[in-house]
Amino acid sequence: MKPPRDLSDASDQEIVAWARTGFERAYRELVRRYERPVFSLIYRMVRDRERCEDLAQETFVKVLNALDSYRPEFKFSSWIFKIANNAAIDHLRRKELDTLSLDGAPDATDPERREGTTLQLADPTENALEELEARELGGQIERAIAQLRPEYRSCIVLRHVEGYPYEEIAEILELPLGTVKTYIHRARVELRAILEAARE
Amino acid sequence: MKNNDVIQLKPAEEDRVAHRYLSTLPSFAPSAGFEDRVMSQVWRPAPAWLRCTQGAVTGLFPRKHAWTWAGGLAAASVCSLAIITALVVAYSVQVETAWSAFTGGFGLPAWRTALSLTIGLVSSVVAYGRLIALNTTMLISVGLGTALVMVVSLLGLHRTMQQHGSGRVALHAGH
Repeated sequence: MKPPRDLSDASDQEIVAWARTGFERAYRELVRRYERPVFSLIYRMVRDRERCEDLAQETFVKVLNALDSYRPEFKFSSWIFKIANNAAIDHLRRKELDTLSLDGAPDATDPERREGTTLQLADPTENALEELEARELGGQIERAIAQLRPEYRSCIVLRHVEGYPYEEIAEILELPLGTVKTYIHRARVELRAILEAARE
Repeated sequence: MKNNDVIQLKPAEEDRVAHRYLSTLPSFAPSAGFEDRVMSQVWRPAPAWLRCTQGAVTGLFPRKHAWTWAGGLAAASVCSLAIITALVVAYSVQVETAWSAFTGGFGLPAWRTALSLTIGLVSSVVAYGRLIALNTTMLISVGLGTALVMVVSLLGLHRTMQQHGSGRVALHAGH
């Protein structure tokens, strides 16, 4: 069956099924859907723009070349995040990169863009002072996340930035549910301690 | 949104408050052209109609007997070509007449050149065949040489096809 012109309303499973039959638009839709979340996860893990580009590309190439082995009873997002996380962890193990500078978005080349991508405010009614405080807080949180252990980092990003439930994080990271809960709790404690230290 | 809110968290509110702050962090995007760079490295299956045809062919010629079929078809092609050549040479006058009637004489010089070359080639092959047939040692040597060339060619073809088929990217992260 030919896919519709607009694939934005289709489920991941439907798009994968179309991609398996050779429709290029379906492949591109999967890339468009997941390029930002995958890139953000990897970037928060490795904190290196060029490396992040390579790892994100490697993740997508692996996933799209192995669509035949994808089992539709599992969530596609869990699968792609698992591969992205593995790629980032492997890289960190190889390079032992822990903390790096925070310069806004990886593709930010000028100060304006860099500033613009550091933190997006949820509430547009906040005044200028609150906005500035929020930006500073966003920067501090990013720096704090970068200081966490890689395991804690992926847990906290998946839980609180990408908004995944504990069960799915456990599936993505191939960890027991209890371990995920412990990691997230410890990560929050560490984040709080880092932010307190930064404030002092 | 004050820093104090984050720092002085109560344990019970931890998850909710952390989510409130962390979910406001921006998502990052790859540089322009990322999609195309990915697509340039992605292997896509052939269109459905082509795979249907391949499936039908595979059904007709099971993989188990692929080499038998390939050898048989190759031998049949060579035999057909030899028979057609022999027929054309044997009935060259009739073929030439039919050709002239059909094309109004167009291409006759080329036809005659091709015919004379073919006759020359066939005559040479027949002459060499007679020569070889008279000499037993030469006959055995040519037979063995031909068999060796065929075996080497088949092995080479098999190796090439195996290399082509193993070009898929392996994935080491299951579900």
